[in-house]
Amino acid sequence: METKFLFSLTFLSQIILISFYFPRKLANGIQYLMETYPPSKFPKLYPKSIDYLKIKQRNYKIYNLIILVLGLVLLGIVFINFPEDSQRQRWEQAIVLAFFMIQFLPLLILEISSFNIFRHMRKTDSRTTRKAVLQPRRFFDFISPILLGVVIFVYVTFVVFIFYFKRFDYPWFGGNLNIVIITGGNLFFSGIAAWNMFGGKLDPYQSHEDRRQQISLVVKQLAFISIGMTLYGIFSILAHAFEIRYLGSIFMSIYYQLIAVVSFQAIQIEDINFEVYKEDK
Amino acid sequence: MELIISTTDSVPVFSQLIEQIKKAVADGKLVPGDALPSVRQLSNDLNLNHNTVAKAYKHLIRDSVIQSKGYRGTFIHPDAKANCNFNLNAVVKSKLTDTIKALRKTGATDSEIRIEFGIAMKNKQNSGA
Repeated sequence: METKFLFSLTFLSQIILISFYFPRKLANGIQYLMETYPPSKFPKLYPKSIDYLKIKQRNYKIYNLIILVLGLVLLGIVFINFPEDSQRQRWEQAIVLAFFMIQFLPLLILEISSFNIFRHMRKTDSRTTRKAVLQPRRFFDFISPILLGVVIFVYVTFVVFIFYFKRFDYPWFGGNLNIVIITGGNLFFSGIAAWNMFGGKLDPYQSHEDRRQQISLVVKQLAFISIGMTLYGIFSILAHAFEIRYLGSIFMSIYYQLIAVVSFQAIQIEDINFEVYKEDK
Repeated sequence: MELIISTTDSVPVFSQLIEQIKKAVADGKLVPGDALPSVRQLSNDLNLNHNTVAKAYKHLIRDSVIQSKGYRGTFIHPDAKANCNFNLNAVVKSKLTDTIKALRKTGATDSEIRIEFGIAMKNKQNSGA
């Protein structure tokens, strides 16, 4: 009963954090942006009309509201109806995972819209001069050696842990597949980091300093997600081995909430240089 | 140090890059040992073809204004300041002008000079020199 209550509490926190708190913060940020930096003064910021952004903001709010209600209904079903049996744990984990994916859909849709806006920015950019700073971007400009050291240490610990664990011959244990999954994840993150560092600019007007700030944020986010993902991998195997899987769904929900906390971090609007979006004199 | 490239300028983009880097060296904005961005980074930042930036870097390496240190990257050459004032294009132009003048004096027509110059260049390429 206590576990059931604890799970409900954690799941409620997941629902509120990812489908209410962060989305509200983000939607308010968009509102603040539209009010403080209007198209009349910052036309380059709106390659598509401001109404397009308003529609996207409204849709984002609606999607999150629907998911919030869905989450609360799910919570009711899980808390009230699910019997305390061996299947309960599996169902809880499946719900947490599926619901987390649904919760991230509005953000994904918003991201696609912002890509669309940047594409239009590049299309409508009629400047005949292009600027670049003659300074190489290096990995350690954006991440401290300590943080990278932690990422590597956690990864190596995971690999050693898997090799050590293989000797116990658990039938459920995936063995090297765990290493493949975590390595694949880290390679994917490295690819995103490299694309951010060396790829083309999405926003053609973005200032050099803002770009550096943004890359730094993304690289740090990826580092923290990598650490979280690897530690969670270790925890999941240990939980299975020590038969504390009943805590699995709770930790899974906490893990997803931590991912959300990291993922929703953004550069403060006040720190962005909006002068670049003004009409050329 | 900021590079500014004009896409409507009659001067080719790669020449603009070369000139601006040389000028930065001459003005002391870039000093020996300073690291330069990779070809990929610079071409993406300027939204140019990679080959354009690679061509500019190749010319600067040839003129010993910059040097490539393999995987470590590209850096300003230790003798860059002395070398950045050397203009190989001007030397080529001057020597060709003198040669054309001398050939014209012998009575060769422009058309003959052009044809023979083309053949000579072609032979040089074919011989792999």
